Amino acid sequence: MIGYIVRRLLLVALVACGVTTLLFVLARLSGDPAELLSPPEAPPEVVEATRIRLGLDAPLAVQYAKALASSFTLDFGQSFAFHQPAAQMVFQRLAPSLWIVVPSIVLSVLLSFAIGVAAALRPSRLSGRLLMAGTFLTGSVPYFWLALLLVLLFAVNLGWLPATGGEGFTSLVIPVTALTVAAVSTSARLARGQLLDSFGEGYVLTARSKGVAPWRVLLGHALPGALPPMLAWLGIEFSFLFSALLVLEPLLGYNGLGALLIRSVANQDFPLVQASVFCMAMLITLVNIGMDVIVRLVDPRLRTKAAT
Amino acid sequence: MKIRGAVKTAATLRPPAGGGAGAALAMRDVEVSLPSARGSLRILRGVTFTVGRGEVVAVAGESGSGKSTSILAALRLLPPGARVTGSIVLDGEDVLAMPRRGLRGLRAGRARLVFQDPWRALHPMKRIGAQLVESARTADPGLSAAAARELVEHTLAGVGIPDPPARMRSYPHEISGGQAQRIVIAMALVARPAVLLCDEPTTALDVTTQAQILELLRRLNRELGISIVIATHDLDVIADVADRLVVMYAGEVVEEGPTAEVLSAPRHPYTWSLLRAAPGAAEGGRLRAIEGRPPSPAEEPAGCAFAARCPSVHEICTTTRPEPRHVLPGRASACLRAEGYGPVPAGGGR
Repeated sequence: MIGYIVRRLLLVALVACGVTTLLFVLARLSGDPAELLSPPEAPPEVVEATRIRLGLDAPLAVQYAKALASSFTLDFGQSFAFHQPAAQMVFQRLAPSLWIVVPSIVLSVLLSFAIGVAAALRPSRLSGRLLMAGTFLTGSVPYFWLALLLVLLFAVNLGWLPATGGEGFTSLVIPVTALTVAAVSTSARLARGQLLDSFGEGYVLTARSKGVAPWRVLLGHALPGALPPMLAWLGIEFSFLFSALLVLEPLLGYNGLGALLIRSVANQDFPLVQASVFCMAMLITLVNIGMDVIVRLVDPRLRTKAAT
Repeated sequence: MKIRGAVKTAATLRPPAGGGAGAALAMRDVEVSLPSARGSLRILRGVTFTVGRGEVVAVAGESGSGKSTSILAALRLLPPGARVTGSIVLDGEDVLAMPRRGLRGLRAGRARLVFQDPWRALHPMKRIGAQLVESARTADPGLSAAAARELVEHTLAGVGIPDPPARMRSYPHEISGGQAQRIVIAMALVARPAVLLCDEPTTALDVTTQAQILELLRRLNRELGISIVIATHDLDVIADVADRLVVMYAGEVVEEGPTAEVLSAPRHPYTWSLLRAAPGAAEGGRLRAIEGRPPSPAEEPAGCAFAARCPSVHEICTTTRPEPRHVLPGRASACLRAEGYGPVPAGGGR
């Protein structure tokens, strides 16, 4: 088990290098930030001075080595546009983003579990079919469109909620609702499918034949069997929610990591782009590894295979 | 009410708590239909047989004959949507009329199932000890966790599991098939059931282990008086273990009687064909394929379901549906020409 975790963490280092390399190449292909940061009519000497100040005059190999090193020192240098350490800015913007993502994950897990169980218990009845039809409906609504509708209704027309971020917990309601609705549909369908598979397993029949109470058959026997794929899915859902922030945060005027990344890309702010993408990639990788480890803890069969 | 409270402390395999008058299991004219895409399928077509107290009865037949369905129906464990008519009395209870709670009590404490594939029957993600302790405590909710563990340890030792405490810490994928089936049987025994219903208990096991499991079942029957029903497609199983034999074909009982008598002088051409299709012990005595296939549950033959494959089919067989009837003392056959069935087929006897 410990060997497994160590192997997965070595993979993290590999992901870090890969992300850094990709970013480095893409950033250098995207143009010259020195020209963008200089006044339009600036003479070539001024642009050149800016380039030297930003460290962009060094040979590409040196710049690349610096970028690679920064993934391990976590020092990504000064933001070109804001003149602050990039890592520090990213760190500050991370908390507001997590305030959207974490409640969305928690709510969607609870909701999709409830819906999945309810639908799996009556798969052929009308109520069960209606629930599944409902998840198809919510799943086909784009989350950014839903967010805009919610703003229109609750912020503009009714005035119950703030339209933008930065106003405490009430500004979380709209983005969290939009993301939860988007995330619930797939995971509820997954939960239902996995539970139905589990109901057909011999061990569930064994539990019923032992006279185990129905709720214990569900929670103690059917659910554990359905759990591993659902946990693995949770890691994927986490990366979906983070990528959704890139659209949702600028749209709702929310000052999180997503909005920061969009702006730094537009500014060709290399250190900031690198720091924020690196941060997201690491979070997503670590969460997924965490899920793999939890799946192994839950399912003894995987543990034995890993040991041999 | 059963007297349960008096025996709280753990002991080795104790006699079953059930009992009383009447049969262990009485199926009378049981019909089962399951819903399917093309209308409902009749899986059982009026099955009648009785398992007396302390008896070992084998229900034999090809796959699809309805033997497993009969066993699941006896505990009302058929998939949702199944329609069951007729009468099923299990350990003195009218199973089809029982409320859910009562049914759960019956399953928990008095009539237990042993499944074909022990690895499918055990939960792959739970320790064996936890699964057996749960089994003991559903049967007797008053049992403390410690007492349940002790009971489980003794029962495991009783079914021949070496080092029970170590096995209780194992997961099902860490043990052999023979051990797994012993554990499944122990999981049933911790409830001290009056009736044990076994659905092909040895099919998933190798030949040596099969014999050991059958011997264990026979011993449990002799020492504890547990009534045992074994669904099987293996004639070897029947010969050594069962007192009586019920032969099923296409959802019907075609022949019934004491095992030795049925095997030495069958009174139904299907049983006869089965024995002839198993040429001696050299090939294990399994039910070999007889020419043709049994009718599918969707078909409704006008006459005898076996007519199409019967070596001695008569005109009347295709038009008249035979009912099981007594042909000799203690023997029943559902063949219109059962009386014409004389001596043992050459090479088919034992």
